[in-house]
Amino acid sequence: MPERSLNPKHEKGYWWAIVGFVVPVLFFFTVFQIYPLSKNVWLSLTNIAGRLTLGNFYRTLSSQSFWQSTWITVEFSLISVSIEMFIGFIFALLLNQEFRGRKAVRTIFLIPWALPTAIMATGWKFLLQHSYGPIPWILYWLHFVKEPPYFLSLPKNAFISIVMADVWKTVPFCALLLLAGLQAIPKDLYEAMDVDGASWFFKLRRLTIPLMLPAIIVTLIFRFLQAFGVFDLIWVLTNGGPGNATMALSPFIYQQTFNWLDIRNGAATAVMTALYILAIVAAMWVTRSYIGRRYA
Amino acid sequence: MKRFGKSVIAVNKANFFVDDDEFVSLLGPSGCGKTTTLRLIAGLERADEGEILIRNKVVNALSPSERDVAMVFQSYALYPHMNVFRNIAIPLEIRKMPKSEIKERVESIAEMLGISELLNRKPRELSGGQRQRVAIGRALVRQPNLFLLDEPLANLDAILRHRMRGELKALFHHINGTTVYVTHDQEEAVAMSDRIIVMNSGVIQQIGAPEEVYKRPVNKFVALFVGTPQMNIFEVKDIKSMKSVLSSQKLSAVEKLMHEGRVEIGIRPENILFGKGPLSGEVSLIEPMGANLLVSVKLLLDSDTINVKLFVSNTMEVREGEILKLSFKESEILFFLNEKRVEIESQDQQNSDREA
Repeated sequence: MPERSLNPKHEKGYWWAIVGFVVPVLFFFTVFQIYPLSKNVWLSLTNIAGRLTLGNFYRTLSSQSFWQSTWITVEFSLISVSIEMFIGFIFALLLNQEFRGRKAVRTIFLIPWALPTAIMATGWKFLLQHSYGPIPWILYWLHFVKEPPYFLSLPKNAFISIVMADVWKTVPFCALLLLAGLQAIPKDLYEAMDVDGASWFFKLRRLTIPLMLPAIIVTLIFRFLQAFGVFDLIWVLTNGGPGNATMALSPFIYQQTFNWLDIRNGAATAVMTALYILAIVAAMWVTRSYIGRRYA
Repeated sequence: MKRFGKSVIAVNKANFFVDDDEFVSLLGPSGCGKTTTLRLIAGLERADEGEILIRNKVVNALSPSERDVAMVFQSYALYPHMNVFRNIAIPLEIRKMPKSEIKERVESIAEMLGISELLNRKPRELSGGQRQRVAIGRALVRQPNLFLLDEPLANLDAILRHRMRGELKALFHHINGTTVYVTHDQEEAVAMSDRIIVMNSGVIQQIGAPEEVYKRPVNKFVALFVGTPQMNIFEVKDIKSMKSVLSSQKLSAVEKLMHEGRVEIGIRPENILFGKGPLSGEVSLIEPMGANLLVSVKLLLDSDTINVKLFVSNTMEVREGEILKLSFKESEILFFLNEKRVEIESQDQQNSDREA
């Protein structure tokens, strides 16, 4: 009697199954990822005659708009991610408490994150509108301000507005990722600290935060990548304005490429943005592996 | 008393005292409420009824930290991000002790436990036994009112468990610490404790010195739970079958008992003598246990057949199927009426030694 092999490779049709699963993925990946990406890199490195050149990068790097957009993006990312992490952490701590209807609250809490950005940005645009939006007028009626403020048409206020809307949308996301990290800490560590007489703050400082560092880093990576590529929120809420006050890198790329049809400079800006993001990921990765070695 | 939810009573009317410097074990099968009892003492659970006193002070309303007890967890609960030194030092850091004193204390504890060279390691770099020592070190460093140990040896392998058992006993004897020790391992409890509290289904069955619990169990549960191999217990269905086991005086007493309910007879394997005697039976199974063989014998008692286990020295040659002559040490036979042990000599003393 021939021995029946347990190795799936000897199963009839095994290789056909592999081909059947892999080919469609490979096809779509090539058409929608590899081709556009390489095309973009190619465009950034050639001139209109199709010759290789660094001129696009020279023009990009010497343009004031590019550096202004870089600065706005960095500022937006740092400020909004810091606020989101801080508030998210507080919410994670709250949601980690036992209380009635915790599951329901956790679900409702996620709604801002579930909304499509364009829709929630339209909502914020209405809320912040000077002439009929409720927020400026409520602030005015409550005597926080002398007159209803212009949120979207003053450079500084427009920046504050996009940060505010971004925080509103992504705090739930941060809180949920941090909550997962919080729940991974064994309960008996807290009990051991309780028996030894540790205060709430001592436990937070010496137990919760150090053991949360891996989760904090993961959340930071996710958030920085998203914040650095911010597009739809700005495009809908301020359209990069007033002037160029909220023109982050992604809207700037769009503007160059599709409004000014300056495709090759747009491509160079896009490549620069990709390099920024790679640098962020690399930095986070190094931090993460360093923390991984120290803790956990 | 402690309830979980509305209907589950985890610990019911547990009433016991632990003297200064005493080592007391809470012994019972899984889920019997022994850990809950320990957590009640620690303050990690709140009692629904009753009072808990430490040093003559009611502590029900106090938080764990105000009770000044130290606890060793079954999982050890070591802080994974801190090295051994930090792990042991934490209780002192919480008390804001000066750094130099912390260092001194941690180092002397580490020396006592033989972990001085491990102080810079992280818990994950330690073996099970080493982690266990660190957990104990963290409890010892505080010099608390009371030590609470929750199955600290349960996660160790058998050899290490035996060794740590001896070490722990010596250690707690040395420091004169008042200790409540939770375990489901009766051997551990018997070997280490001054007194044992046997629990089952949230109710204390018996409190007593290890020897007392072993020799004079209050009921069938305790008799079967304490001691390996288990006590032989069989029901007396027909008094005639006991003629070759009991003296005529006891026989008549047992006969009287049988009117009151179900009567069972218990005898530990070491109290069945082998070689000569009125009883005979066929060897059905032989389990070598080192110095002794544990021999199962099918015993014929008049019309009844019962299975008993007894020890036979490994120098004897015994084969399965062989017929052995046996006798019971009559003074060591225990009698159970409806699961509760009764004294047979003087009837009026019945049930008098029941506690809880």
